[in-house]
Amino acid sequence: MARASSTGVILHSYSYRETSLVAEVFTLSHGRLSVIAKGAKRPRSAFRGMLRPFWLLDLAWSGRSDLVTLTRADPLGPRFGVEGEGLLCGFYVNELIVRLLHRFDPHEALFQRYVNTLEELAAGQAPREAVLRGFEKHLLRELGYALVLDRDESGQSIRAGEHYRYLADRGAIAVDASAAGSIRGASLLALEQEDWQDPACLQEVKSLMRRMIDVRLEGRPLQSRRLVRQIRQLASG
Amino acid sequence: MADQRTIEALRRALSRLPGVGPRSAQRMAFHLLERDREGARLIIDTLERALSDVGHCSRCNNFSESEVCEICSSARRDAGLLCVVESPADLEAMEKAGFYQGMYFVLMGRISPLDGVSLDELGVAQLRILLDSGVVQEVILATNLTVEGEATAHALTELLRGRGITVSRLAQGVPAGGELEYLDGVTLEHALSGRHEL
Repeated sequence: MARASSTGVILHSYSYRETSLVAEVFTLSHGRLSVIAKGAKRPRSAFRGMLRPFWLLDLAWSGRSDLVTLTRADPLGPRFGVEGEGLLCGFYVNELIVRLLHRFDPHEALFQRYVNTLEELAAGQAPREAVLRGFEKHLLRELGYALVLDRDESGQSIRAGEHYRYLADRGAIAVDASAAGSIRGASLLALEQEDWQDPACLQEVKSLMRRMIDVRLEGRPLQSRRLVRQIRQLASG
Repeated sequence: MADQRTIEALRRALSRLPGVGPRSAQRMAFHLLERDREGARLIIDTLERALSDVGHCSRCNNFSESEVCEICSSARRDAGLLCVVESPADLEAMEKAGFYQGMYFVLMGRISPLDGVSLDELGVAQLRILLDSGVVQEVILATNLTVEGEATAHALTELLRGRGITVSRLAQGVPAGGELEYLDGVTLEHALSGRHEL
């Protein structure tokens, strides 16, 4: 039976049979995988209380199938204190990983970025929208769909004052300022440099990234997006 | 095998129950058919009656056999105090403890995007109607202390905002009879951060 271990974070878990849990995990060395934690809900289980999202864990497992058996889960420091809106953002990031990453496909750089993202969401210093756009950009790059943000389709440098249409399979195409669905060059460059001094750029990039992510989701809806919308409606009325 | 078709259908029907896999379902099916046909009849009758008689209380959303459940129609309970819980089992636990004298609202679930459970799947519309009636003065958010429970509590605070209602969340920390030596680090952390002055 194959044994392995890695630093990892639980993305989601659910009950299995009477006392066990099945969890989706994002690990540094093995990418996303599904683990079963047998007896995790028993009062004296070593896993009890450990298999919660937003916590950097030292994990070990054994097995070769799609569902490996968890053998160790020890915390590596305190949990990331994501709360309120930050918690919803955390759900969104986790859902992106579950939907878009293949099992057993290691993405070390993305894992690092994921941990940084959770740290930033917990700290609450940077605007949450900016943190999410940065993560989405890295996620697309890791999946092999990196956005080209400094040059247009014909190889010309992106100019802040120009307008572009961005297509997933072609990149930026210079268009007239009045063209529907266009994005300013300044917004593409802001995303490239992850420099969000102009809030208008953040807004434009949000709709760009939503389109780019949707292309990769191939029509599958994101529940966490729906949830955020529903909560906004609650607040407004 | 054509002569096994009904058994197969029964097996599949039984495995719809939570925690019942194909093997347990098969064991149940064979047991009922071979050893306890009377028990099978009892299950059918009781299920039938439950399906036709048990609905949801129009006030608290808990399972109820009448339009308004016993707790909600009790005159001795404080209608101004509302405890929001995830499930009927949570309500049962509170009632068994026996000290709470207010009313309840049962969400029948908790927010969990990755399980496809969003606000629309919970009884939020009905909770809003209850709050709009103006009777409730204090709400205790007693959803579980899991990330899903916390997210649910967060969403509900948005619903409660600006209504002039006192909102509180259950405290977390050392359980009664708990020995510090055996507590996990998370619980200790909560107990420390939520300590109170004597």
